Amino acid sequence: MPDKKTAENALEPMSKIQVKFIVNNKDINVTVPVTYTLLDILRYELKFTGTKEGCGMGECGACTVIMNGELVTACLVLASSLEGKNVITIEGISEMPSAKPIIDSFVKHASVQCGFCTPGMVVASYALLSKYESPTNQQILDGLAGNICRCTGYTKIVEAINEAAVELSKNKKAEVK
Amino acid sequence: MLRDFKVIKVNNLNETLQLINSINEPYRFICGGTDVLVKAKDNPSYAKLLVDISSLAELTGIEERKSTFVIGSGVRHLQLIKYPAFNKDYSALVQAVSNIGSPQIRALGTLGGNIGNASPAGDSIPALMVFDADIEVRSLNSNRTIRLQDFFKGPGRTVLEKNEIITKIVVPKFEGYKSGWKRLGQRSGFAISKVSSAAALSYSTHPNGSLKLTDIKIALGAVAPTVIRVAETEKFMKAEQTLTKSMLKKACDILKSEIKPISDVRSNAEYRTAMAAELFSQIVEETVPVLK
Amino acid sequence: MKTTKKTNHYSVVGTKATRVDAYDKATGRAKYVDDLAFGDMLHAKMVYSKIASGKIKKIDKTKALAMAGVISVVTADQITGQNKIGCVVDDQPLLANEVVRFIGEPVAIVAAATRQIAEAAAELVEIEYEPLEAVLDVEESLTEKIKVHPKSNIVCHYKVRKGDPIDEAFKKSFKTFEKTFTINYQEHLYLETQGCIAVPDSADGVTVYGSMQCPFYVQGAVSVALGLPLSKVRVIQCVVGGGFGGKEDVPSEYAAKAALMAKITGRPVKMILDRAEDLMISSKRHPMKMEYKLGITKKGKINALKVRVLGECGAYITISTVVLFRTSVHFGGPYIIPNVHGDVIGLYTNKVPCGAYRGFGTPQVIYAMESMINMVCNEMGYDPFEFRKNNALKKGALSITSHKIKESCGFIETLDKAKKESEYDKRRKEFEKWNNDPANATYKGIGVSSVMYGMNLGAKGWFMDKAGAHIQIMRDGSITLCVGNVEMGQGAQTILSQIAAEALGCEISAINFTNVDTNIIPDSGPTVASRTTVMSGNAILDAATKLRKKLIGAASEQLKIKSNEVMAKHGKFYSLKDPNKLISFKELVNKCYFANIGLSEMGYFVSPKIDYNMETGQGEPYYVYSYATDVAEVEVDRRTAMVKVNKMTCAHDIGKVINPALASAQVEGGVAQGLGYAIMENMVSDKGQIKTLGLSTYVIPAVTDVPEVNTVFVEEKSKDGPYGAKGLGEPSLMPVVGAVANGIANAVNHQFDHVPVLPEKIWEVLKDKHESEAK
Repeated sequence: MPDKKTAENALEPMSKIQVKFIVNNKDINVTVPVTYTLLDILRYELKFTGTKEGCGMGECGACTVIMNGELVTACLVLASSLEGKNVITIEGISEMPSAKPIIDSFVKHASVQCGFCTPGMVVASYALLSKYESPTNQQILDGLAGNICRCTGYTKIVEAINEAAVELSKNKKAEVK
Repeated sequence: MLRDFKVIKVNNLNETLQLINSINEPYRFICGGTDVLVKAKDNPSYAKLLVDISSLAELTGIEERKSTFVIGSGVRHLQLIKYPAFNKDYSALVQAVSNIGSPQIRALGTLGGNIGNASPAGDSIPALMVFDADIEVRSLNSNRTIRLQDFFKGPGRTVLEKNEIITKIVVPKFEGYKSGWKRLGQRSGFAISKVSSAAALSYSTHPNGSLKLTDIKIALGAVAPTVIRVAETEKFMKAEQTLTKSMLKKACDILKSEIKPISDVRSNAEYRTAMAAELFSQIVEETVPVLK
Repeated sequence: MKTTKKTNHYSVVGTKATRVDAYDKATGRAKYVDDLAFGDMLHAKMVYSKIASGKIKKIDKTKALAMAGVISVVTADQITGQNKIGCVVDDQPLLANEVVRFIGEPVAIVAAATRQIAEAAAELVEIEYEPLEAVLDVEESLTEKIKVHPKSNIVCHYKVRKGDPIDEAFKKSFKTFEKTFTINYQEHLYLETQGCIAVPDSADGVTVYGSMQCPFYVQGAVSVALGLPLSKVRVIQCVVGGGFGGKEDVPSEYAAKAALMAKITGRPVKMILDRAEDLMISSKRHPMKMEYKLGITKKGKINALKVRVLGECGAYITISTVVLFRTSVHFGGPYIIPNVHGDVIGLYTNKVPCGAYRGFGTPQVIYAMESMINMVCNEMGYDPFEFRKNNALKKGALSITSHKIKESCGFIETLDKAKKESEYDKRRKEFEKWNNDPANATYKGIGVSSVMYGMNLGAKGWFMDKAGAHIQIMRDGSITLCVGNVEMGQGAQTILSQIAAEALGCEISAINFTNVDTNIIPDSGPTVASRTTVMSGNAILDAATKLRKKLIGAASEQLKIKSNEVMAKHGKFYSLKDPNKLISFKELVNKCYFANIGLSEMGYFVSPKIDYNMETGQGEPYYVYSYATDVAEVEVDRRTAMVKVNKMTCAHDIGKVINPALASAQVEGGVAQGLGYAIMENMVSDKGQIKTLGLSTYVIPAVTDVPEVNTVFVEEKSKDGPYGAKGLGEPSLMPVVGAVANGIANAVNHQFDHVPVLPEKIWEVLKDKHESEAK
């Protein structure tokens, strides 16, 4: 396929763009309208509907994914900035053995009510627990600061993360043994 | 949310400078997207053409030079917060940038964007201002350095010409200054600031125990059409020199008289005025604990 | 989290069973309406009025229709059925045809190949108006100078007249207290915005999928708008991302519009509102102006209460008449008051219509009443718990509507428990000391608020207060359970599965709860009024009782024991006398299959009939009430006036607690939503234009804003509830605003008369306080 970005036409305003990037370890190659964000691509092109749109403005965290190792709101990542990026969504995380204690803990602690914020919360929790083995309360609060929930009042979500941290720590020690 | 724009993706600074030098239509830069994309979604007439500069390697990186730190305009907030030297001596800057948005926003948003967006409530700006930051701006045929204080014309408006781009933010090295930044939002966490305040000061302790102020810089956000320094208050304090509770109180009174905030959906003018002084006072008390 | 009764006699009910829907939600597998797609589906967007009041002169669709990808642009003249959408009263068109009455009123609908094209085309529909004067304030509306509709601006007027003429009663009061309160809108801010998909099937039928609380309302609305018989309208509820009442009334509007477009285009049509649209047009909590006058006797008994409430309904009634009926029943709280004079008046304005929201017209008046009580206690030096107890409703006493409380009234116990658990006396003294120390950076306060809340739809809604359930036991022992009330996050699926499992003797894991489908279940009314546990629970028990009888009969035959010897629990049917004599649920069901014993039953339950006089506001408005008392500990920064709620103690009487874990989760959620309403959520509008159209301006609590919550339950069983249960969905939020407002009042010594209690307002009081202290 000829490279669309040749010297002559590289600086023309585009309405469509071809993007090659990685989602959940799979190579993705799509051509989408330039107005598409990562969230649009995930939900409408790739049918990964686990990542949700709650506001479209980066203010609720329902569209949280991990991109190049950092938590981001997919609704603000424009298609043109996606080239070569490595994205992990809830679909990817829910398949990872290291995420199982997190998901199990959310289920066990009644941390899920309507569930719309939950994929984003799980992704944020996964990122947090990848960074800190035994997060302090403040670290948990800071880690969830960008994820809004309207149903649960957050208490049981924090409880779930605390237990998952303990579980993951136990697993790590067991592995080392 | 009607989205109606085209995108030009640029790959290096030179390409960008050439493009914006010859471009005929209005455009906006997009890097992190945390302001521009939000505005573009909210208001279709905000941007018909976006120039995506997120791949420009020349805008990334923080460099330590002999007497300055040079921050690429494309440096993400998350990277800036982690920079060791800033955590040591530039408390106001780290506090400010750590409070921009949420973790997700900080992974995407850039310092250049926070400045270029020119919001009167832009959180990094008061902190940069009290450090006398300069903005380096380039066009195809020129290179200029503009004091941050002189960079803003009004809400959302800067002195940038159509063919210019912010490339670097230059922060001078300081010795012996303490600094702080505070803001109030509509809730404890992630919120747009109702009012914010930053200050950097240096003082010495006289043999008789009194505190002599040697320098002070104060900047306020969300109390004027742009982020501002309060020159009269600074002048007063530097003239008075001796730091006491009552001097601080007088300084606060002058500060309040220097500003005229508006009332809007987030707050009202009276509260903002009082709180601008309040936050400033608290910063001084925290950097000069004896004054508490 | 504790309950009063230590022993739970049941095997599944009363346990902390794991939520049955949590795993799918936590892994992102659960399908909400926007996750669904159908072949050749179109996307619809509405075109909204940009003015608050005006006549429509001309609508020009040409530019919109000319856009590539646009399939249809529809206006009122193309509605195939009737152009109406009212929930209770016929005052609202599906699409505005002659006049518009609020900014955001839908005037046209565009259907296009993609959402983006539909949005772009919607901008190109040109509407010419002749603007009219708008009425934007309830006092102004009351003057009737500008009318929103041809008839009166008064939507409803409920009266409560109990005891002596009120002025005479006040003459006998030892002391009277008066205050006027105002309270702003609240926005539901469910994380999942409104949306639906309408799929045409066969020649003229339609199936609607959507995020909704009331599939039967939606069915009715679509049938009317399209001119279809109800039997040709099928509604299937999707997983719902939050409702809180906000998906009670308005989904019908969006579904009818999508269905209309589906009918006209012959293709599936999806309509999803984005956040700004949702904030602009979906229904809100009624703002109210509440005038209270309360009289007490020398012995601290409330002898008289006079209340006038003006409730702002917006441009259309939707469900306002029912909301304000509740206001008229609950404005006096759970207290014995011999002389009551209440007027609750609903008024039209040219603003967004107000509708259902968790608490349904009561959190507002609870805030006012509990603030009055706080004022009384402060002025008279009464202990807030003793005063409330002294006036508390209990068995045998009469409510403000002269409802004699016959059973299930744990109000006093909630007062005792809340006081004990919160360590009220100790904390109050500590806070007083703290506040008197000028070295402290904050003021601390502790506040109390109590509620009573009628369960189910009450006297006014009795004609809708029924529910169906269908249970089908498959030959392999797995079970499908379908009811008419919706799981929207509150835990209905799990609670109802527990009730079914208890009654059938099976494991919860055997049950597959299917979302509401109007083809399977008869009209079960709306999922509101905290009625789901009772209504659907009882309907399940009706079906399950029939099934259990058959199963026990079969088990008695299989085990060769008497029927009354058969026990059924956790998937095993066994002999009471010899537990080793058993047969598994699976095996038993299989045997029934081969013996042609049908194991599929419908259940049905109707809410107890009650007697209420609308003229005098006297009688039994609801068959039973839940009660609660909350205690809030708050902290106010002395310099910035920012408020932090540090701790909530919540004592709830909800009858039998079916699932203690889910119940305490509900309370925690209610606390967060209540505290947001109390101190930070502030909808701002200017000339009818809502300015707070995003989460950065309409701010709701984040993880750092919520307090420690200690929940205690009181189980005063209700004879009409499944296993004695009542409801919790709304009571979990209702006392919070009053408790927080009273906590702030205690902290800064000032009873605020407006909610939200913003720092700007608190600061004005503190400023004066500090200035006078300085002197």
